[in-house]
Amino acid sequence: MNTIECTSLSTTAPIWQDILAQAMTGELLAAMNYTSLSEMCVDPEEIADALEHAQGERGHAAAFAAEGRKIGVQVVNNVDAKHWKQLRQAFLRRITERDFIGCLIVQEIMLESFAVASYSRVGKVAPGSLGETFARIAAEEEEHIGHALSILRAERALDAQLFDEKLYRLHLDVMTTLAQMLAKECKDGHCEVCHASCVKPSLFDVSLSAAELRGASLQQYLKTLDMLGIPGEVTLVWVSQLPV
Amino acid sequence: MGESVAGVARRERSVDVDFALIGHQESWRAAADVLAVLRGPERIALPDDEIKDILPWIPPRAVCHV
Repeated sequence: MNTIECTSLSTTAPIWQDILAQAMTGELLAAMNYTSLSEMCVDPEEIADALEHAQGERGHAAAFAAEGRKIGVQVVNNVDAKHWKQLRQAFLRRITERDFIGCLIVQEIMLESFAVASYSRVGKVAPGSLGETFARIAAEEEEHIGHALSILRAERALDAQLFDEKLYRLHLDVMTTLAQMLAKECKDGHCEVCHASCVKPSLFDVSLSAAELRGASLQQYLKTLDMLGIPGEVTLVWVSQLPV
Repeated sequence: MGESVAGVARRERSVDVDFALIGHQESWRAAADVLAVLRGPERIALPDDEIKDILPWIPPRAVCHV
């Protein structure tokens, strides 16, 4: 790392600290979700698969924490922060219903789309190993989506209308929360993850913006829905009805 | 163009042919009007700055079938 990069990182470290905190929280939440999924599964192969995913997500969280230490900041997570807690509760409702497909939709289609898109954008602008870590984890999460898509496409083939109705219900529940989280400004108070004031206005200092992260996440989500075979004119209505 | 259409028409007997019109709204006002319809009357209209931020990220897709 050269002198210019060190100077640059010392001024932007608080911004990266908050970006890492959001990412780490998301990874730990995903680990919790996969652990809950493993407890619901009966098939030993599905249990092992879910536990492996949980372990992978914990590894991602540890990697983000390690990147924080490299730039001299402590990355604190908060899975009980208001938006993340709502997302966790939405997943737990699927667990209560013993709804395996619903769990996959929430975690892999909605939450992972957000992760892949935002990590990819961060990976492009973050310096050195920080950017490499975000890009690597984005690629790994994209593989998860690919695996889930094959299961979900098979499920949709059984009854497309029923599947799409379920997905729409989950969209209203989960994507509404994600849209509030990704709004350009946190109008409803502190998110309870950023260590001081909201990081969003400062994102321009690291060549990012809240609008860009939201746009990229919506785009990834729509592309994933396209891959599931849900008509584009239907999903266009879905996303156009989200809060901003 | 005439020959292309004629060519498609000749194959129509054995193959279903789909026609697509590819286009875009000619102004932000027009785009806002479409979004307002999609959102429905019960939701507040999106502010212009939000529309300009969001629309460029929406992948191309069909908006209607005739």
